[in-house]
Parts: sequence; C-alpha cells; structure tokens
Amino acid sequence: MLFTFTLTPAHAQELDIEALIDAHAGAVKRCAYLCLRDERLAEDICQEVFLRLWQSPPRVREGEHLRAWLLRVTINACRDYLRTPWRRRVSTARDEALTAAPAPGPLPEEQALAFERDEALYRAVMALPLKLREPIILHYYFDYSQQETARMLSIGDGTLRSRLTRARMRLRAMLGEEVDT
Amino acid sequence: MKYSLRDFGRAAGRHVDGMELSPSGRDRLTRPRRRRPSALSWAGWAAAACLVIMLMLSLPLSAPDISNGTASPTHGALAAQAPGTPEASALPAPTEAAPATPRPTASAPRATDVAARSQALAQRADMRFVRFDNRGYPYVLNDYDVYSDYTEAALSAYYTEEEVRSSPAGREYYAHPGAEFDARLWPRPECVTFLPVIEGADWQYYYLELGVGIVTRYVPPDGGADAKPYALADLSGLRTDYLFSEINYFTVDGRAAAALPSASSDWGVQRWGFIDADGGWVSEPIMGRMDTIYMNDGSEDGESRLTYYALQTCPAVDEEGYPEYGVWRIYDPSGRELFTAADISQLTAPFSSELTPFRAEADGPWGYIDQDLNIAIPPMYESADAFSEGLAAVGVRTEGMGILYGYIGARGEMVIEPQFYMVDWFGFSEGTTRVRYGWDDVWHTIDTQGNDVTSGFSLAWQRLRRFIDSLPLDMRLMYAALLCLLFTLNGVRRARGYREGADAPRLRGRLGWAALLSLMLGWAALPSAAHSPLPGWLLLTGLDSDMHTYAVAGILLMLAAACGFIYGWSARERCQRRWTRLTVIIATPALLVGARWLPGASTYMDIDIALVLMTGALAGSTRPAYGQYEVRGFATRWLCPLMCVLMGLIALGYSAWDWNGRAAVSGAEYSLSPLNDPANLQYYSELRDDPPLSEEDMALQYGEDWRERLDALLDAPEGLGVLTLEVRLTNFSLRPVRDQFIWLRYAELADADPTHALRGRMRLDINDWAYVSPAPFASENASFRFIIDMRGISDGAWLGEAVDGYARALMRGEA
Repeated sequence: MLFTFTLTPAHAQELDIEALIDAHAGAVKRCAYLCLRDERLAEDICQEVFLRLWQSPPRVREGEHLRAWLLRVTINACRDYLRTPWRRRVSTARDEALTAAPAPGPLPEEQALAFERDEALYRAVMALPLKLREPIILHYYFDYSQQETARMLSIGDGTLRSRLTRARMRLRAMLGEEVDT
Repeated sequence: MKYSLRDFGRAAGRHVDGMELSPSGRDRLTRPRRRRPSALSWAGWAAAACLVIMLMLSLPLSAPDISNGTASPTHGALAAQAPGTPEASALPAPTEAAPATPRPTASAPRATDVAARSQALAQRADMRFVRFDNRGYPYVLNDYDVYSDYTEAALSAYYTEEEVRSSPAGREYYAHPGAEFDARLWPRPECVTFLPVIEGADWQYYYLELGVGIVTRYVPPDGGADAKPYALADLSGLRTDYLFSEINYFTVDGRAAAALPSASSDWGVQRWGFIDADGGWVSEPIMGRMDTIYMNDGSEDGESRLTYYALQTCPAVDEEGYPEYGVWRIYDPSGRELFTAADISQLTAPFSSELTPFRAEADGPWGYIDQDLNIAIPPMYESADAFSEGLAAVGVRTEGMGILYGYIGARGEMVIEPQFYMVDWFGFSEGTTRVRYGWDDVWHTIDTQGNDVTSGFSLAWQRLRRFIDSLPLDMRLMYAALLCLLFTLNGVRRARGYREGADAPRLRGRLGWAALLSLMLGWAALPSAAHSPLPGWLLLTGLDSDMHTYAVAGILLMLAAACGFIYGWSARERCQRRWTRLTVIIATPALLVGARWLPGASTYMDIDIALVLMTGALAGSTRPAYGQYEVRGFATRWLCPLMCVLMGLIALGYSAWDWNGRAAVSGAEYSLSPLNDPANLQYYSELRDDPPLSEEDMALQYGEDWRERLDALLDAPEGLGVLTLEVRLTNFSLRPVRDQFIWLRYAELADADPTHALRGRMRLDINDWAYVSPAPFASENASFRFIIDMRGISDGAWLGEAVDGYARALMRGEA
C-alpha cells in the first residue's frame, strides 16, 4: 500500500478507451482466435492489445486506421505468444477451432455439400502455420486489400503473394484438390 | 468444383462471427488501472543487494589481523638493526657526515634561527628596476626601492599629470585626446639616475651602490649551448661581454650566482658559480642544476626571501647526453658552501617543510636536516619521506621481514611503529594516509595515531578488484565472453520480436539500455582489453602507438555517438515532456562519468565521451517515437552492418602487415629443488658447455664472467636452490604466433614487494628469456630457471608467497 499510484500516460488521457473497446474488441478477439485457435487465449491477447493501445497509442486514431493498427498489434502479440518458451512447455491451447461448426439444421444436399466443403477448407486453413495463415486471415476474412495486408504484416507485396501461393500449395496437399485464390 | 480461398471468409464467419469480448474480459480491461509494486519484489531487490554486499565483503583476502600484531616485527629485531633509534626524550647526536655546526636544539619551530638567517642574507636595498622615460632613456629611481612603484613617496619622484600636460613636451606627447597619462614616463631628473642606452640589449636591474646592472639581449629560442643573453653593465656601458646564461640577484656583499651554458642545458644543467660586481668568478663554476630556495623570514606575514642555493651537481654526462647527477651542495646567497649531502629528497621541494630527508653517503641511510641545515634526525633509516602534518614515513630494516615502514614525529620519535609494507608517498592529508599491512594486502587508511579507519566500501571495492585481478587471464576472458554472449543473445531474442506497432519504442528502450550498458562494459574493460590478446583488439594493437590511440578513441567516440542516439530515441518514448527528456539526456552521461569517477577510474576521455553521448542522445531524441507506419528502409537494414564491416576492414587493412598473433600469459607454476640435484647439475653443466646464445651475446647480456660465476655456484652448491617457473602462454588469436621472444622483466615496485626480495636472492638468471610459438587457441609453456640463495630462509611459506606474488604479478602483466 506504500506505493500505490495510478499510471496514466499523458498521451493516453484523451483516449476514450471504453468506446474503443466496444468498437474494436470483437474484431481483435476474432483475429486472435483465428491466429491462436483458443478462445481463452484470444481474450488474453485482447487484454494485451488494449493495454498496448493505452500505454502507447498510435498518432493516427481514425476508425479504420486504428482498426488496422489494432489488428497488426494483435498479430504481433500472437506471434510473440507463440514464441514464448512458456507456451511451448505448458501449452493449454485446445485447438477448439478445429472442432466442427454446428450444422445449421437439415439442408438440401447441395447446400450440405457446400457446408461440408467450407468446413473442410476452414479446418485446412486453420491447420496452416501462422506465417501462412496471417495473410489469409487479413485478406479473406477481414477483407483488407493485398497492399493493405502486406503493409500491416510489414512485408512486401511480392512476399505476400508468395506466401499466399505457398499457402495454396499446402492446402492442395491437405485437401487433395486445387485451391483458387 | 474447386476449393476457393474466397470461401474462407464465409466458412470462418460461421465459427467466429458472433464472437465478442466476454463481460468479464471487458470488465478487466475497463477497471481503473493501478499498479502496485508487490512487497515481494521490494524484498527481492533488498535481498539481492544484501547478497551482493555480503559477497563483496567476504571475498578472499590475505590481510593480516592487526589486533594480534602478527604483521608487525619484533621490537628486538628493530633495535638490532637501528641502534640509534631515538627515544622521545633523548636527542640524537650529529653524525660525522654533518658539518661541525653545533645545533642548538632539534625542536621545532625555530623562529629565532630563521629570522636571524634571513636578516643576514637580506637582499640589497639598492636594487632598482630599470624604467624608460618618454624619450626611451633608461633610468632608475634614486631613493625608493623596487617594490614601491605606486606609493605616495615614490610618486613624488615623478611630474604630476597637470605639470606634464601643461609643458610643451607633454602637450606634444598627449596630442590626441583621451591619451592615458603614465607618470613613470615623466621622472623628475633630480630624483633619478639615467643609464646609458645599450644597443641591442635591455636593462633589467641596476644596483645603485654597487654601480653595476644586468642587461639582456635577445637570443633565439633554439640558441642551445650558445644562449648567452646576460651581461653586466654600468654607467659607462657594458662592463663584461655577453657571457652568462643566467645571473641571479646580487647580495649585500656583492656576489651573485651566475651560470655559463653547457651542452646539457636541455636538462637544466649549467655551469654554476658566483661572480662579483666586476664579473670575475669568486668560485669556480660547477656543472649542475641549481634550485633557488626561498623561505619565509620567520614573521607571521613575512616575505619569502632567497635563503639557499641548492646545487645538484652533475659530474658526468653519459653517451646519450643524459646527465648523471652527483652530490648536493647547498650555498648561501653569497656563495659560501654550507652543507653537502649525497642525496636530498626530491619527493617534495627541498625545505618546503620543517625537516627535509637527506643522506650523507650514497646508498647510506636517510636522516633529516632542518631549515638551518642542522641534522635534526641522524641518518639511520632505509628510506625517508617528507613530513606532512607532523609525521613522516620512514623505512626500517627488520629481521626476516624485509623493510617495514613506520611514522616518526618531528623529534625523530617513532609515533607509529614500523608495521607497513607500503605507504603512500604523499603522506598524511587531512589526518589520514594510506598503508598496506602486507604484500598482498589492499590499501588501508590510518589516522595520525595509527588506527585503521578504512571504510568498508573502500575495502570491499579493493577486494573485488583484487579478486578479479587474481583470476587467470583466460578465466577473465571467459567471463567477459560469457557476459557478452548473454547480452548479445538477450538482445537478439528481444530484437527478433515485432519491430513495429506499439512495441517498437519499447524495443528501442531496451536496446537503448543495452547499448548504454555495453558501452559502459566496453569502456570499463578498455584498459585491459587494449592489451588483451582478443582477436578484435589485436587488430588495433598492431597499429603504431599514435594510430592505435586515435583508432581506439575514434571507435569509442563512434560507439558513444551510436549508443547515445539509440538511447535518446528511446527516451522519446519514456519521457513525454521535453524537459524530462532533456534531464534524462544530461543526467545519464553525468551518471556514467560519476560511476567511473567514484572508484577513481575516470580519465580525460570521460569528458569527451560524455559530450558525445549527450550530442548523440540529443540527435536521437529528435526522431519520432511512434513510427508504426514507417517502412523499414535500406538504411536500417543494411547500412549499419555495412558500416561495421567497413570499419573492420579498415582496421584489418591497417594491421595487415602484422599477421603474427600474440601470446599472453595465462598461468604460472613454480617448483623449487636443491642445486645438488643431479638433474639440475647436469642441466647447468650443459648450459655452460653449450650456451643458448653466442658467446658475444652471452657476455653482453650477462657479463664477461658469467661462466666463472656459474662455475663458482656449481662448485659450492650447498644452500642454493633452483627455482623453476613454468609460465603458460596462450595464443588467443586466430593467427599463429611465430617465435615470440619473451623475457622476465623485474617489476620496479616497492622494496617490500616479494618479487624484490626474490630478486635479492637471485644468484644467476641466465634463463630469463624464452621463445614460444603456440598455435591458434593453444598454449605453450615457457620455462625459466634461476639459481637462488636459500640460506636464511627459515620460513618456506615466505618463498612460496614471494613466488606466488611473482607469478601473480606476471599474470597481471607487471613483470
């Protein structure tokens, strides 16, 4: 109790952190989930990401820019998490994401087939290493353009394309069929 | 139907679209944030600090326990060696070496003596500075002495300003308005004596009653042996030719010390004698170096007057022109020789304190003379230092313990018994001085009563340094390498993390600290690293000494600039306000310098480094801290490594001519065996028949009679032993060492040092050199053998300690 003090950096004071959490926490958590495949870990990453936002916020704080910044920090945090020796020794990640999604009730055969194919694709993508999965998550799930994705991952456009190609080759090996972009 | 990645959005959406932050998670994020350092962490830091302090205090040390007196010699031994040791009440009698002047008392102070002496030797009252009037004619004042220029009486010898300005000459002289009046240009002719103008020379002084003055002419600075600028002159012109290189003041009986130039003038050696007012020699000039000794005339605020001339004679000059000094002669200002001594301590200026150390015979014992040149304490000490705060350190030879140092008072009484192996030359200052109780001891601080008042911090620090010094070189290098490796690994691990986004500044912060730390480490290690055989430094040590200094300084400054830049950049993130940033930038270099200054390790380089650090940090702090959208460019990716490679190549290019590696001492072992041993006898007889060098070289190195000396030792081997030193030399460089010639050099340390004692016992040291050529990262032993005298060594441990100290000195690079 001797040394109780509140730490609020001057630059963080004008941030409406609660509004930002309401606006972006879901996206951050979904991104972290797709990276780590564990909902509990994704919550932890959320904490980490917003802590960083609060400690050292970016200069540009408009909605879309901030969202891109948050997603980038999320991916960085996930990479960092996967790299820690702690995680390698005491991994509690349950790979929930590889369990099947609940089927939306009885379907016509064609739709049931499409549903099965989606599930197979989802499981295959989630089984990719994070390095190849990151561009797919940002480009195909969060709908960022290739240029934006490359910039968010701090890689060149060429590198991004080659990663996507390598991902498709991996998926083809897993699914046994050609995979389009 | 093909799979398409476009479907991934839809497929993933089924799994995660509804996913939101859980209420508990949101609560955790939005709760007011408080940070409280845990009590445990404070306790942890405190415990760590305690541990470090305890470790430092309990480091191994062979300091003797002073309280039981094991280190001090027996008093019986002392008395046997120094029979004349005076008691506090009994005063010693003068020795024969002293002139037969009866000394009234040895007690200090002797104000009456000093006053009488200074009266007898007073300077002449008729000495005048020569001035020049408005026409440029030299003159001196008739009635007023040299020191009374501006007194009212002296000013009456000049015309006043009104008189001058109203006269025609004055009006002409001060024609332009605002000209400053100078009375000394306008002397009244009846008050002064005008002197003749001497072409090409200037008057200095004139003695009115003697009727003689000193003139000087210009001599170019490189005049050398022909620099004879001084002559005597009188009212009719030059009295002597320009003969003298120096003339001092004339005394009441018309004598002055004067010098003729000599070939060794560069060393201050001239031919000194005394002349009369006609320029004739009263005493024959003697080669030597003259000190003028001024003393207070005894009154409280009295003036310092020239009291003695002390001439350190120089009877000979060696082949290279260096003077070889002989006895000291002390004269009074009129040239009467008062005292002769073989040596007078030059540690401090002679006669600067009440008593001055001297010795009557070369290599004889030391005593003290007072300011009246009486022998205050007769010569009986092995060494004698100057007095400071009423005490002086003297060395006394003791039985079996070598020379020990104690402190005596002004009457020669022993105030602090001889018990120290080393003392600080500079004596007491503010009531304390530094001493060592043993050869291997650290410096202790004692007060004037001899009590040990050393602070715990100083002891701990010295023990730490000693401990580090005592480690073999390869172990030290290993530790240093391990530390560097840890820092590097940690840095790499950190740097591998995300380099952008919010954590980039934090990463820079860590890098900034790491950079500062590594600079400090490198800086602290520089003195030893510069001489270490590490490959990187070897490149530098291959340079000649000037280039080496510049290269090391340049690299240090560049490092400091780079470290400062990173540190300043990281300060942008930690310090949001400008003034805190500025404070940090100024305080950090100051702290760095302070951290080196406290243990006494700072040099003039520290100021440069601190300034460069500050400049670098200022430059670094101008960079934006949050550059999360900046693209990492060519510069940061490639420029730094390129610069490093380039610098390495430059260093390599400089030293390419010197591809040989260098070996360094990494350990030493010794063994002792009697000379009677057949193996030893055989070794030395082989050495005698087949010497390792040519006959000429052996004779040159060890004397013409080395074979006779060896034979004499082999004929009577009883009591002699062979000391074998195995010195391990390791080549830490990547290059082979080709026939490195190494030899043992005896450290010029204090008498009490064990290596000195060992040196005294050496009877033959023909094998004090060896060739080694160890391969890269390999070791090779160089063995040295000495024949030493083992007689009188009752304590085997002493020799062990001596050799151990010798080996340790070797590893420290002192020997």
